[in-house]
Amino acid sequence: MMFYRCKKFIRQAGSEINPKENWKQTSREALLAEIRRSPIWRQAQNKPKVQARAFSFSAFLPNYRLIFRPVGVMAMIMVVVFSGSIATVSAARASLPGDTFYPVKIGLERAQISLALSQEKKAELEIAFAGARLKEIQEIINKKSSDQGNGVKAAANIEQAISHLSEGLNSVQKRLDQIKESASAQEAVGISKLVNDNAIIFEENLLQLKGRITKDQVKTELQTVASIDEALVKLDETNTKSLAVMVEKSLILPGSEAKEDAATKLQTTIERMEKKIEVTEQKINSVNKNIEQAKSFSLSAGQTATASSVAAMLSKDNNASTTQEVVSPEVLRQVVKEVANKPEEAKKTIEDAKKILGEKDASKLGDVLNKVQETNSIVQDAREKLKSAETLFKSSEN
Amino acid sequence: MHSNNRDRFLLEAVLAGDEEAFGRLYDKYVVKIYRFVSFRVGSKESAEDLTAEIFLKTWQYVKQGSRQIENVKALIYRIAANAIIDHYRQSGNEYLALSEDCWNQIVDQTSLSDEAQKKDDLRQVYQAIKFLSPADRELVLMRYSNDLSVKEIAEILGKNPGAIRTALHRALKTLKAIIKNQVKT
Repeated sequence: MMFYRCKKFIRQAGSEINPKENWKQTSREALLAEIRRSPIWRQAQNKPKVQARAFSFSAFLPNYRLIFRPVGVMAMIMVVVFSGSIATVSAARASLPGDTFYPVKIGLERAQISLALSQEKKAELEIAFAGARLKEIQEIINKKSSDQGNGVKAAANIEQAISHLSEGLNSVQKRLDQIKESASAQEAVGISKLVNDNAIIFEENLLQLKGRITKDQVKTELQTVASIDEALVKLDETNTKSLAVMVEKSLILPGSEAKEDAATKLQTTIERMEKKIEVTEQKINSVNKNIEQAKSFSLSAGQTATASSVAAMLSKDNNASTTQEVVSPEVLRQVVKEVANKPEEAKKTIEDAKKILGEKDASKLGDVLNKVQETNSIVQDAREKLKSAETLFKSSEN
Repeated sequence: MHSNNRDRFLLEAVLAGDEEAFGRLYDKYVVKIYRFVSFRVGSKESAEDLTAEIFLKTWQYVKQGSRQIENVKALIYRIAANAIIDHYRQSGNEYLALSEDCWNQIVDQTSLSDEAQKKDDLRQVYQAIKFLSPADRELVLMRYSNDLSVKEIAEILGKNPGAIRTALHRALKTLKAIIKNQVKT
């Protein structure tokens, strides 16, 4: 073996070792939780927002004399306007939905995107701004629980942030289409990976936020939950699209690194898909159980189950009203029957994906992707049907 | 923006109350640090524990705010290098800078690659690196496996860049001689 090949192998060997996605996420969350526990972070939270978020130029300009040089000043402006830095975004986002300056902030973000010179920067900014929307939702919820604030107003503000989040995700999807058409394969792989990594984190964060909202069980927030569900679907679409671009373009690139990255991503997606199937299966079982309970309830009470009783059981909403319109759980039973086979069908498809991926043949990554997408459609279809059944009962309640 | 300026910007943001900025820093370096640690400790579990500990120590260092941080990447790697040394000290084992277990794991994982010869080559590379002194091994791995510049290695090891450049040159010369010898035998 030649010496130059030895150096090449040492370089390549480094990229063969990768941590597990689950561990990465758990460790990240533990780290951020530790930061939130620290007094320095709490103090920063208590400062007025504008001050707390203002960044110090001293961080990246140790030589202050530069500030007084026109070239230095110009460079600073260029850095702030054109950079895709997450910190720049953080510094600009002092206002929250409902604040007077919030539309200005959104306008500035749009201007920053349009001023960015490359598709890569634009995509990086768009995804960073989508993350900022999630942070806003979190802050509104925190504020609401600490201040005992107005629930209706908070819900409207969350709605506003979700609406901007969905708009942002639409832009990211369009950007991915453009990148797929015009950018180099290398660039497309890089951007799609960035989008995919973030979309996964956003999905988890949004699910947690949804959990916090539904925990309150306030009726005015039902619409908010529905909007979050729509945003989750949009995130799922963004995730799928970015994965598709990544796989497609990695096949064009020479060498094995991009293909191996795509294979790892597919493996992670398969694992996530398996969890989704499991959750859907549990949901179907729980709905089934609820129907049975509704039936026995009506029998013991000597009357037919009401729409509200079934809906209450489905949503576990103990505050649901008890109007006396009679709706048979038969409709729901029909829906459950329709979706009962879906998890098995999805499991079979995802097993096929795993088998193809297990062959470790890079040319078949596209086939794995197709199977993953097929599984996603099956699961999505089952979820939508279950959801419409719930909505049906809830609307009959009104 | 230059990568280091961006990193320092993120540190400023986290001190201003944006913990997600530290999350971004974590996202940027976690895989690299995990690989750095894995190469040196071998076991997955130890690598995971140590990597998590390194980021926690980085945050503890940052929040103290006692010193101006010039190079964030070098700081994280320096903390990582110290954590690994502590790990070996506690276990009482000799620090090797390259774990055989980890290398075997790499050899086993290469089945996705197209070159059948690659496994043998990787084994040969390991045999060659093993003959280097621990200090030389560390330098070669930092430079080529972790893709650190001479300046960054100097900052991590607390040495002069010139001295590192010379030491690295010597280490590569030795490695070249070992490989030449391998080919002959």
